[in-house]
Amino acid sequence: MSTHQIDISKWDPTRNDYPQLFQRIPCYISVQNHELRIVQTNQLFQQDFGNRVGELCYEVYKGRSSPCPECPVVKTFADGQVHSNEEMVITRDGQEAFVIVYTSPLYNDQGQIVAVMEMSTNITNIKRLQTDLSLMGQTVATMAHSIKNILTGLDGGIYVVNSGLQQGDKTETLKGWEIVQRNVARISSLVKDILYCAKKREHILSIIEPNQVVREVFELFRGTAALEHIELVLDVEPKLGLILFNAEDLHTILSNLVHNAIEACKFDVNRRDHRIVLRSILKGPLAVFEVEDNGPGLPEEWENYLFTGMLSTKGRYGTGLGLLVTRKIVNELGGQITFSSRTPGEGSVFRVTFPIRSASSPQSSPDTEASSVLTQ
Amino acid sequence: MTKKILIIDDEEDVRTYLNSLLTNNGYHTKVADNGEDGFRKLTEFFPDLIILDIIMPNQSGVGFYRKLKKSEVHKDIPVIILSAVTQYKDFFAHDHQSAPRPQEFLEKPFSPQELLKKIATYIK
Repeated sequence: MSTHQIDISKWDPTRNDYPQLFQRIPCYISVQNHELRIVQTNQLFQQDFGNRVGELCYEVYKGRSSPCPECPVVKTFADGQVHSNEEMVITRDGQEAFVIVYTSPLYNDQGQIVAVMEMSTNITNIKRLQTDLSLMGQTVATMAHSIKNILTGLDGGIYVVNSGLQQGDKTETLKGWEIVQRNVARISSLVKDILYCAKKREHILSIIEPNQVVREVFELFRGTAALEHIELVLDVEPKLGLILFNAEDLHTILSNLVHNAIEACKFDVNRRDHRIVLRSILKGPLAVFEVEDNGPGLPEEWENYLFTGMLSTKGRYGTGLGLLVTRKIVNELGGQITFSSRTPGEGSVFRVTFPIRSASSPQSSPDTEASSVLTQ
Repeated sequence: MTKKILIIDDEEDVRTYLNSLLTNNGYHTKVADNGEDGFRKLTEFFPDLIILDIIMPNQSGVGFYRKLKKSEVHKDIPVIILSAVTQYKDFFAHDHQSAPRPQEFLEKPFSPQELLKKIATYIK
């Protein structure tokens, strides 16, 4: 029997077996001093973060160079109370983990707080389930929305066919029949979109040159944009070198956004000089990709519904699932997608942000800004 | 005198459907494919009622409705919102100060009898 195992038959609550309990508890435990230096850790902590005694907790957990805002340890030192928080941390093998943190004060004989114990439970799987459930709910809502539109089209087609038959009007009957056919085709298209959205994908990471993917997407859409008299502009940041990512995912994300931008400009009758900029940016530890257009933008009342899949301004041509799929992939890769629209009629910008996992040091941790992106 | 209805919807199939339905029931109609187009139509046609979709390119149904309610000439034209958006009332929720929320909503897919009934309560 190892020293960390307790022989329950010999368990004596008066005996000092607490160090063993401390070691074996299935949570990350670290004890920190006033400087936020780790003075003691338990077995699970050492397994996932290494033996980091003497190091600063924010460096160990998050790779930060300064204490985290709203640090529960600092709060416990200040008021002696238990505090909790939900955090995203990076383990020694570069994996992101969501944890729920509880802190508790440790006193000396004089009743002074000399250290704070931080106990963290890994809730990454629960977080993933939450995200999956949320996306599933939105997908169902989107399907219902699309089906309602298709049903209206089918109702309309049937009505027009019947109307044409009753009036002996062949042209009217054919017009109705075309509506029916078109909406049956929409069902087929919707089913394909749903299957694409529902498919579970593995995001296998490899060393890629993101600007190469950006250029490929640019080349893919340049002809389509030109046909619609839209100027597609490429603006890549050369310093964005090699990163650890999934090229196919990045291609899908950017293609969806550029496709949407083209559609937005195509249906915008208010101007003729449409322009879409596909851009890559290096912002500290973040890789940022933007698709900016000068199309009609989105009214403010739509913003809450933007990534729900409810919105499609493409009439019978869109199912609204494109942005939902895009957000799903971005989320699964630990990134963030945001949208900003300028004055109505002045276009919009879709921005996708990812913490850079350096190709040369895949276990490197994102710093302050990256952490905040990852935790959202 | 034949009553006039303006149909504003970005889906051509829905416009064709409504146009056929209303014409067969004795109404005179004009169609527009977004809010801006709808306002252009208002300059050539003064409808007794407007059937309005919410999500459309260029100008949404919400934008059109706001503008309509600010127009001294057109503000009293009754509007029926016809949309597949389940939370359609939310789109108008923050608008109560500048314009009263539309009173009539009908969710797609809709019953043609129900639509005709609603229309009849406003224009006889």
